[in-house]
Amino acid sequence: MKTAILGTTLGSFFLACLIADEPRLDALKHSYARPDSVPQNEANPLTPESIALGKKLFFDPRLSNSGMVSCASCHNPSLDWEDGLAVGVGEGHKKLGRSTPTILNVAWNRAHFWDGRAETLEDQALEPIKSKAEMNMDLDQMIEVLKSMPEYEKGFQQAYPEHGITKNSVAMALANFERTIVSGEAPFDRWINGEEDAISESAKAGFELFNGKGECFKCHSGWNFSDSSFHDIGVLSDDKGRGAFLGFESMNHLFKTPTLRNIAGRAPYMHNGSEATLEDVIELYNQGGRVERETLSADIKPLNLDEKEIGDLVEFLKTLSSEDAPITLPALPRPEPLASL
Amino acid sequence: MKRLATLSILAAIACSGFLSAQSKPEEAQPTGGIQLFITAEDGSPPSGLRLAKLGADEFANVEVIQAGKRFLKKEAYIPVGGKIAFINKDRVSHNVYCHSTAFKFNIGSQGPGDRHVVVFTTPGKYVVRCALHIDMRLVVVVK
Repeated sequence: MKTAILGTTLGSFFLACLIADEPRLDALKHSYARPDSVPQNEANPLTPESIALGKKLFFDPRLSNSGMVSCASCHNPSLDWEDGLAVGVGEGHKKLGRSTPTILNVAWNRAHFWDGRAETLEDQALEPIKSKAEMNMDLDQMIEVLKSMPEYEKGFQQAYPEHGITKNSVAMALANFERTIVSGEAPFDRWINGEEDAISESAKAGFELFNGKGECFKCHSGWNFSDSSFHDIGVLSDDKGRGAFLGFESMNHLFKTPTLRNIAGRAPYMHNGSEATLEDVIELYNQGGRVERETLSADIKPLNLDEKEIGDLVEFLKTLSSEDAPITLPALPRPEPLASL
Repeated sequence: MKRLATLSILAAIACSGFLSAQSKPEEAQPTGGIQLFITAEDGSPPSGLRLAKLGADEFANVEVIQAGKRFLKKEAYIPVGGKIAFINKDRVSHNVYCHSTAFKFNIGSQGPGDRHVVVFTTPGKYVVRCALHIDMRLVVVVK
C-alpha cells in the first residue's frame, strides 16, 4: 500500500515536472524571439535617403588611401559580412591583429570593435577608415574626394541637408546602412514560432544544453545571441583586448561576446581566428579555456560535455543560419567629367 | 544548483564587526548586527560566494544592487567621504569602475554574492560602470 502511494506520488510529481517543463521551454524560446524593429539612434533616424547614401559609402573603395579597399572588402556580404580569414588584412596587404567581426545585426550591439572601444555605430564608422593599418585615409582628404562627385553632393543634401558632406554625416550614413544589415529568418526562428519540424531532435537537445549544462546562455542571450559583454574565455592569445583599452590589468584578455547568428558560415572563430570549427570552439569551452590565467572568467570551467552533447550543440548552432536574398550592389558616383578642351 | 545544494547556511546574530571571507564562523566576535555565513559542508567559504559584510566598518550610505546585468539604481547621491556598497546578486560576475579624471577606482572582478564598498572622496558627478556589461551605468553625485 505504502509503495503504491509512494508510486502514485512520485508519478504525479514527475507528471507535474513534465507539465511544468513546457511553459519553461516556451519562456526560454520566447527569450530568443526576433524583434519587430531595428534599434535606432534618436540623433540619426533611419531614413531611406541616409540608408541609400550609407550603402554607397560602404561599398566605395575611394574611402581608402589606396582607392582599393572599401568597408565591404573585409565586411564581405558574400561571407556573412566577414572575410573568412583568421585576422583581417589592411593597408599594403598586411595582416591586422584581430579578425573581422560581422556587420550582421550590429544595430543591436551596445559596443563595437572586439574591445568595445566605440559605443555607437556613428563613433565606430570612421575609425577603420582613418586607421593607418586599415584604410589609411586622411579624413579631410576623404571629404575632398566625396565633394568631387556631384552625385554624392546631392545624396548628402537629401539625407543630411543640415550637414552636407562632413565627417559626421559620413559616419551617420554608414551607421544607418549598417543598421539595416539584419540576419533573416533561420530554421531556429521557425521552430520557436511553432514549426516543430524546422530543426532536428539533435538540435533541440543542443538548445537545452545551450541553456543548461553548456551555460552558453549566460552571455549569448537574446535574439542576437549576445549581451555585448566582455570576458576572458581562455583563447590562446597575448592580446590584452579590453584591458589595453581601459588601462586595467584585471580586464586583460577580455573580448566582446559576438552574435551567434549565421555562425556556421563565419569560421574561423574567436578574436584571432584561432579556432577552426564549431567543434573546436565547443572543445575550448569544454576544457574550461585553452589557457589558465588570472583574468579567466569565473564562468569558464570544464563542462564535461560528451561527444554526443558536443554534436547536439553544433547541430543547434547550425540552425541559426538564415538563407538571405543576395544583396544588390550600388552603382557608385563618378567625378564630373573634365570639360573638353 | 548542485553546488548550492551542498552549501550549509548558518545565520548568527552578533554586534558590530564582521568576518572576512576566510574567517570561520566560530571565530566570530559577537559584537552586534546580523551576519550571514555561507559555507561549504566542511565549513570553508565556497569560491564565488563571499560573506556579506554588515558590520560597522562596512557601513554604506547607499547600497546598489547588481541584478539582471543592471544596476538597480540609476543615480546615487552621497556626501563627500560617503560610501556605496555594490552587491552582486546576479548569476554572473561583474565589475565596477569609474574612469573620471577627478576620481578613479576599479574593484576588479566581482563574483556572484560579492559585496564591495567604495568610498567617494572627491566631490563631483561620476559615471560608474561595469567593464564587462556596457549597459550598466550608474550616476553618482558626491557633494
